[in-house]
Amino acid sequence: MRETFYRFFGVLLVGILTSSSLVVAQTTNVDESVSAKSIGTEETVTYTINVSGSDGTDLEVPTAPVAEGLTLIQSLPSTQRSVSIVNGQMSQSFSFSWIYRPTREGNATIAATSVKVGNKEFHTAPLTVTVVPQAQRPPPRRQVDPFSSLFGNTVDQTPEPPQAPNDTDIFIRAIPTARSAYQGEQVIIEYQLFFREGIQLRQSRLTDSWDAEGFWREELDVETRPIPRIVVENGLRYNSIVLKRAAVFPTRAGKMSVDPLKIESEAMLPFGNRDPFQSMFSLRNRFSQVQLASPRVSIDARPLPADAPPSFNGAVGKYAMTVTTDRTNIKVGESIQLSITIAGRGNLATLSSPTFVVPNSFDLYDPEVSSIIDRSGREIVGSKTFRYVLIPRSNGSFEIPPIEFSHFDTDSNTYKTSKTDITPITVSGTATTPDVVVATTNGMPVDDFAPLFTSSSEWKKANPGSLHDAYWVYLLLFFPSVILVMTVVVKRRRDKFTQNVSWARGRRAHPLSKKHLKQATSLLASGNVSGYYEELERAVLGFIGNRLDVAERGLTREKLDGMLAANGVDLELRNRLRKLLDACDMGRFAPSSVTPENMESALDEASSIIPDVDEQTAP
Amino acid sequence: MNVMRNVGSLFLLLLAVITPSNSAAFQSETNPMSLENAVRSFDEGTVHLLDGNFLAAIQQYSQADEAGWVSAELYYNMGLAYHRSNKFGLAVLYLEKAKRLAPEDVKIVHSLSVASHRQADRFSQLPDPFWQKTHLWLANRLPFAVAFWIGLAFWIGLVGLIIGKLLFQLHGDWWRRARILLGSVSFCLIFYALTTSAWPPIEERAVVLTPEAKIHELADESSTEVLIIHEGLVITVKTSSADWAFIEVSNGSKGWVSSAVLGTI
Repeated sequence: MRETFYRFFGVLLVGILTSSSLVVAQTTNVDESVSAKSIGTEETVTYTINVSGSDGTDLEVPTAPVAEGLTLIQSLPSTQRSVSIVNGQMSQSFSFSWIYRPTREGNATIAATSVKVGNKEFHTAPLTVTVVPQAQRPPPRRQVDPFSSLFGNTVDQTPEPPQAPNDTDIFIRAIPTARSAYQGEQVIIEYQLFFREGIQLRQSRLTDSWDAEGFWREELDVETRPIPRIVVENGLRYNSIVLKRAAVFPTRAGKMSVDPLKIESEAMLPFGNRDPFQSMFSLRNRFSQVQLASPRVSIDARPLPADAPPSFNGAVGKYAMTVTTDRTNIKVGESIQLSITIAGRGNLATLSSPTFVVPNSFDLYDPEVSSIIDRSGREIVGSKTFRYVLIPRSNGSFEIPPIEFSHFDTDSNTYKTSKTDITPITVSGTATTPDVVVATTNGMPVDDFAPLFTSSSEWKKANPGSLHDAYWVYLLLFFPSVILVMTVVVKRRRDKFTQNVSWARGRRAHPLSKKHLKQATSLLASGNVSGYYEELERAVLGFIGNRLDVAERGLTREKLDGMLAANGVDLELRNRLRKLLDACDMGRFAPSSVTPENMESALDEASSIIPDVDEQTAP
Repeated sequence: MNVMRNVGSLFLLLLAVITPSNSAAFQSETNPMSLENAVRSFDEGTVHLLDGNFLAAIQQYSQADEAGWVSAELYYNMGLAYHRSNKFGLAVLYLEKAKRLAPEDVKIVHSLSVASHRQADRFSQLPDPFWQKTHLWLANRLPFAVAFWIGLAFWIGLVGLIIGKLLFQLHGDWWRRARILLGSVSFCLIFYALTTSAWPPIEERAVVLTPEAKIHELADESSTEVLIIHEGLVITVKTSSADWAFIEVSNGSKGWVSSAVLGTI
């Protein structure tokens, strides 16, 4: 019997291996799982080793792992080959299963084993199974006689209630690409449904609208008819499918959360009603309603760095800008199409056009915006194009200044700026004007500047200066006032000379005496002795007469002496005056007795007496 | 005779003092370019402008401007050249300068109207107070320099009449009335000339030269932004320094803006 089984198993394995020539080379992966993590003392557990990525030609059948607390029911594994074709690519996997029965209560361990694929040996990890008393396990299902109902045996015909799966049998997992991101940065959240092998699902649908407040949301494509992927989680084998994949972009900074994804479905566990006829005719009863929800996803949105360049307008991601014009040589009135394309990954929907200026002679129209967004990958990528139409209204050589676009690069976490070159535009010809009004009523062009001036006649100095802070202005204003004041002073002086004789003589005393002394000096040089002394006497007596306001002619020496004494002239000065006057008399009437030394000393004495008299007679 | 000699000496002294200051006030300080050269630069600039060589035209026009010789036509052509060179703010600046010299020229008024349609800002205009309108009306018809010279002549005449009264006995009602008339008119004219020079009826205005300028509450970049204004807007400058200018927009909004973004008209 055993030899027959070995032969059958060998033929089966060869058949499996020979049919695998079309399998695409894949990375070999080995995982291990058990059918249940907790069993009763009277139940069994299936241990499975799954080998994927191998075409089977170099796969050796592994040996059953040693178990502690469990006993192997059969030493040869049951083998299964799975083939799947996804996107035209075939993959296959092989699984080897053994059944164990518990020998005692408590934790039982299935030890590690190895699988040899070609020259490589893969090692499995040990798995632990908890063995509990059978009384703690759900009651065993009834063994129903399939034919009893046909023969009228109506004992206990009530249908068995469907068994509902628990949280470990089926659940949704939300997997974000990042828990922390910059404001505006793309974060992908993938929702995967995990359900145990053998569980069948139907009528699955979203129960609530999925929302993500504080985020801009973009849906990514997922398979509408997904093929479950087998994964091992905590030693249990699950089927996994992607329910939803979405890109979210935080629109503000701070901690925010994305709502759970909730679905409602009908699930059937692999152990349904054992009655095949009842199972066949009442499938509905075997499915139970399940409501599932993913955990809430929290994302910490950080504000963008503060050193944003001036041309930054909120673009976050990884972009490149290209600018093209359909032509650069045109005629007046024709149009140029200027296209700005920004391509890359990020939130293309909210991307705005870079600002730029065009020559004033150009009319610029609102852009036509088109986007190409690829949602088939694992993130939002694509391009956005802004097509502007420019129409020149005058000829000449113009330049479209550089167009600048800045974005926050999420790879390097820095602002990056791209800038185009200057685009020269040459416009020729003149505006065609047959159908439009080109001039205003006063002959000026419509919506354009007036023509230039070809000549200029009224030139003036720029900035001639202000009047109020020029000092010469005040000098000019002050000058007439000075003349007026001088006139008043002169007139008063003149009036005083005519009206006050005493004051007038006093004012004239010095000039007259100087005049006479000067005359005397010239006479001295000429040798006219009598004339010389006459002038000396006239200078001294004239000065005293003017100073004291008396007529000097006919003034006796005694009277003169008395007047001088009365006006405070001391005796010494009076004696010096008398001697001088005597010398003058001598010189005038006996000139031969006078020596030149006498004459010079008389001149000195006269020059000395006049200021002394002036000092002592001063009021 | 002595009196006349003294007055003559004083007059000569006054002329000696005034002559250098007068020439300094009315002549260019640095560039000795003559009017003939300025006119030649204007003509060469016009040839460039007709040929579409806007930058060369601006260079030629700027030579005349920097030399201190200006005209409404020069400023207008400069504004047109800047307009064709896609420098909107500078175009408005020179058009406004041209308008200041020829306020009623049809070409200048029309081109400024076209420029205003392209200006991004739309602010209402507060009415000017009546006294400011009157002052402006008067200043346009009687320049303060003319008023000053007439006032000075009347003032000299008044002094002459007073001297005549003092020295030559020019008494009588007619002489008295003449003195009162000359005194009143000269005072009014000189007062008008000096006050108009110190406080012109049109406040200092400027044009925004950058695509965008932020008006702040205080003269500090970090202070609250009051308003954002755009290239080509004409604003009134209340006071200014090298870095900041306190300005008023036509609707009465006031604030501080960087002096570097303004071009004074």
